[in-house]
Amino acid sequence: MFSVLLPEIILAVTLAGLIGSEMSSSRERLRLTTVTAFFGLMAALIQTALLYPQVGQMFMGHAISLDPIAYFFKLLILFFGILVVFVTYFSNDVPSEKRSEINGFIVSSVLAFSLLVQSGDLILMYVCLQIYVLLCVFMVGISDDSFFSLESGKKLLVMMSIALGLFLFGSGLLFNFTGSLNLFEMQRLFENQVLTKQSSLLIFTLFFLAFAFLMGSFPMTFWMPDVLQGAPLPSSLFVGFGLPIAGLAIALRFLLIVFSVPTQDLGHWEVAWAFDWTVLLSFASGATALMGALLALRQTHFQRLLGCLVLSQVGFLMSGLSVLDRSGLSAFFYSCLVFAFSLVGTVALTSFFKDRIKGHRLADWVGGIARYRLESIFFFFFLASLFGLPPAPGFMSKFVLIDSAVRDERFILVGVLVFSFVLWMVSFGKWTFPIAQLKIQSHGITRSARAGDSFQRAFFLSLLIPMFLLVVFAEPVLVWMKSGLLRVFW
Amino acid sequence: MAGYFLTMALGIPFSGALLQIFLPDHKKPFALFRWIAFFSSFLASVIAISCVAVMDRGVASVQLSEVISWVGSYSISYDVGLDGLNVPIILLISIVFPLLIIFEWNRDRGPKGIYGLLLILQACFFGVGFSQDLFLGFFFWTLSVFPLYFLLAIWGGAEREKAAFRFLITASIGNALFFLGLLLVYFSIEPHTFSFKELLGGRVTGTFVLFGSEYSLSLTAFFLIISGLVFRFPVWPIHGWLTFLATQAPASIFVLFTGILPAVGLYLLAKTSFSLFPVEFAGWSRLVLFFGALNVLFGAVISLAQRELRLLLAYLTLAHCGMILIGFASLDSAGVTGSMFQLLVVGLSLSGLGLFVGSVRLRKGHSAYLTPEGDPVFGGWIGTAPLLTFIAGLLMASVLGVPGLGGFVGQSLTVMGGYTVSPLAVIVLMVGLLIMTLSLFNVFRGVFLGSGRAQKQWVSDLSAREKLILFPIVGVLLMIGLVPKPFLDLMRPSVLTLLSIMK
Repeated sequence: MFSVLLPEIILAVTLAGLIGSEMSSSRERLRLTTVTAFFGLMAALIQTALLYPQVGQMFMGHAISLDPIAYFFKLLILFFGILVVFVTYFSNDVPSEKRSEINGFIVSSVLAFSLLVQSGDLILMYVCLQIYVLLCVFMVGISDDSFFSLESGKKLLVMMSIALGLFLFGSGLLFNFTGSLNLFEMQRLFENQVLTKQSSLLIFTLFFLAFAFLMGSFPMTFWMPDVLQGAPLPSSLFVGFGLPIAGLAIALRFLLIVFSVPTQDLGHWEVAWAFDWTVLLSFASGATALMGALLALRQTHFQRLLGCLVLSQVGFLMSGLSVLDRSGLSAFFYSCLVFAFSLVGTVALTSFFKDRIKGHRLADWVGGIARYRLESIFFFFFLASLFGLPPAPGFMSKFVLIDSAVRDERFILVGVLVFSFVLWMVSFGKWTFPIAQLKIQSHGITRSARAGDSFQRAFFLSLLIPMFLLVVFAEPVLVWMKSGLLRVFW
Repeated sequence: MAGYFLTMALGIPFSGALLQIFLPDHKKPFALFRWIAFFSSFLASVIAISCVAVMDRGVASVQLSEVISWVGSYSISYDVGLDGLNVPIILLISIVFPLLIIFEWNRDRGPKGIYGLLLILQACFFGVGFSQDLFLGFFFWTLSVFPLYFLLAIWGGAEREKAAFRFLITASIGNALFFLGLLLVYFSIEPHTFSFKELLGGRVTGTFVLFGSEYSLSLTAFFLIISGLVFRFPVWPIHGWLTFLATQAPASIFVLFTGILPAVGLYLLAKTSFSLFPVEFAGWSRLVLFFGALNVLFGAVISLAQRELRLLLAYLTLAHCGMILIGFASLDSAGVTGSMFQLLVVGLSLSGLGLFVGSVRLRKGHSAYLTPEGDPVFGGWIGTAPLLTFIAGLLMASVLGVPGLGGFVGQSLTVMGGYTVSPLAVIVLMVGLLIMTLSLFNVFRGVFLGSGRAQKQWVSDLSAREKLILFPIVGVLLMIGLVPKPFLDLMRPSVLTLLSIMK
């Protein structure tokens, strides 16, 4: 029990260290904060990796479950947290005096997320979720001298309050029908007792809307581009990935444990309730992917574009959820990994360009390749991965997701996803065109602009390694994820 | 080591392109990056040509095969090899790409970028050609869009953004349609596979239901893949992107769009149609024939009205794509072999002419050979540039199928094959050829022989670099025109095997 929560304990100690350094002298604070956050997250990551033999076990009366899904998301968020710490270190978007705060928020968010994805109890889940979204709100509104940052923070607070309210209402109804707060107990109860169509529809709709607010999926897409545009870039990165992934992780738990049951056929689930919610999920998936792709076409602000891209990614990831088999889910996990690395790479390079040209609009970036050749090429690659274009791993991840939708004979969804793919190719052209110009604009990048330092370049290069591995070793990753799913449910 | 030659041919240009990123920008003319770019391309080409040279004649199966499982759970493998079908385009790519790098030797604006993109493109097209796996082929085919897009968007003319976007949009639609077709093919077969070998012989069967109606899987997949490909090479009515970008692209990039891309696209069309959809292709061959004839006529007639050499070549490309389609749709061994042969010949001839237009632009700053009133702009070049005249004349003759050059062999076989199925289509083809002859004769007369006020303009003859570029092209055209048998022997077994499966 103690060892299972050791990563969380390490994170809590790290957080204490960060708070301690915040209270120490200014110079000391600036020097130590990134290092403390990095080593804390790294230690937690190593400890989590060492927990592999214990995967599949439950603790505290099933309130904490270290199943493969939780394990995967724990590893993912810890690794992601480390990368965000680096992006924060390199970015000028967050004032240096705020770096300690944002690192604290990152570590505490990772801690909350880590508990959230392991929780099998509705109350624990709600509390973790509440803390997590509040930390995200603080992160977005961290620049108190920026009107846009504060505005975005407020907007996110309102949206997340609604999401939490809906989640709480849905949880209350579930408790009312089952008399339990534990998801695994609910699953056992639903094996003998089926809810009426109206009740199941109501409960599913409440959770669906709560998760839609959380992930920014259709029909609650509108907040994502606004919030990601207003927030400082490292916060945009964390929130742009962290909130949708948190939503998807909990949604996955609900969908697989409460709303569906494993079948005799290995690797498949079937809808447990009186109505087929997978149709609704497919519709939301297609609509989110399409809306993100369509909105991306019209953007001229890079952070807003990132918001649209995140939306589209969420739509694609949801398509993996709507297919209730292990192929769909392994595609989903694989795509989450690709999404994480692609987004970190894109944002890190966006931050690089933004710091040097003091502009974040398309027109400001003209001639980027003439001044920053290597960084521009890296940027194209990460952006291509987010857009799902070859040879980046995003192409493979989109393929496996579309493939799972075809397997499930969701042809309309497939059509919509492929159409989004067309729009993405066009968007990619639009966004890379100015940077690829050899002529440097007078109001944009100048020849005297600061060059990239070697440490930063090494960071960009190190991000390419997992991307490369995800393309070449797609098969072992997919197989590992499939087998992981089997370990817990059959 | 012996088994990985094709991978080396694929990997060397990619590595060369990667090196371009890291190499320092030295001053010309001894810049290391130029030589590395050239040697990467040349070495890959030498390896590819050597692989073709050692192939067994009279064998229809895939040779020098290399298979590595990539994503096994989705039956995606890195499966490359050589057969009779891909030989023409492998030769075409091997010959043209090193020459393009030489053509761009003195490029002072972003040379490393252009070399890097050309090398990536060479690897992509090799990938499409070598690929014996549908997914792998699609992967490289889709990847090839971006180097083409960037080449046009960065080094194009004043309206390059518009031209590049037009291309990107049509290519994206094409890729999406291809992708949908590919998915249908994959799921229609148990066990699921992308391997051409396993998909061979019309194994795609079954139906699927959409909006309550039942559709044939194979027919839908066939139309999706064919339409997807048609968006990527110029076929009426989806040819506007090419004619627009023709006026914006510099010579080497223009060659990619008129000489290489159509050949690779048509090869993919033949490969997928004959291997995957023999029944569907045979059933709808009349439609393909109709479009082929229409393209020949349309391209030829419109070329007659052009006053700009690049536009004229763009319409000739359209006409030749139509001619090749007629050969494919004939389903006759002579016709199909002739069309496969034409991929190499037309690719080389149009590449040569494209580079000739580049030379014209280098000398005169433009390539409009007629004024809006129809008067010749140039003229009398034969006097000062006899070698240039001779080479251009040979290239034009090859396009028109004059005996002794590659075009004659390819066109004769296409006509012979086509006539057995549709004499009308062949008559249209011949009329188209006559009109094209008139177009090119007008060019030859207007530029080289000259008349009226523009006669006897001074132009320099071919430079050493231009000779290095154009002589190999003309040499190969003469060689395959005079001794076509070794090339035809390589292609015929594969064509016969596919046609026998079809029949």
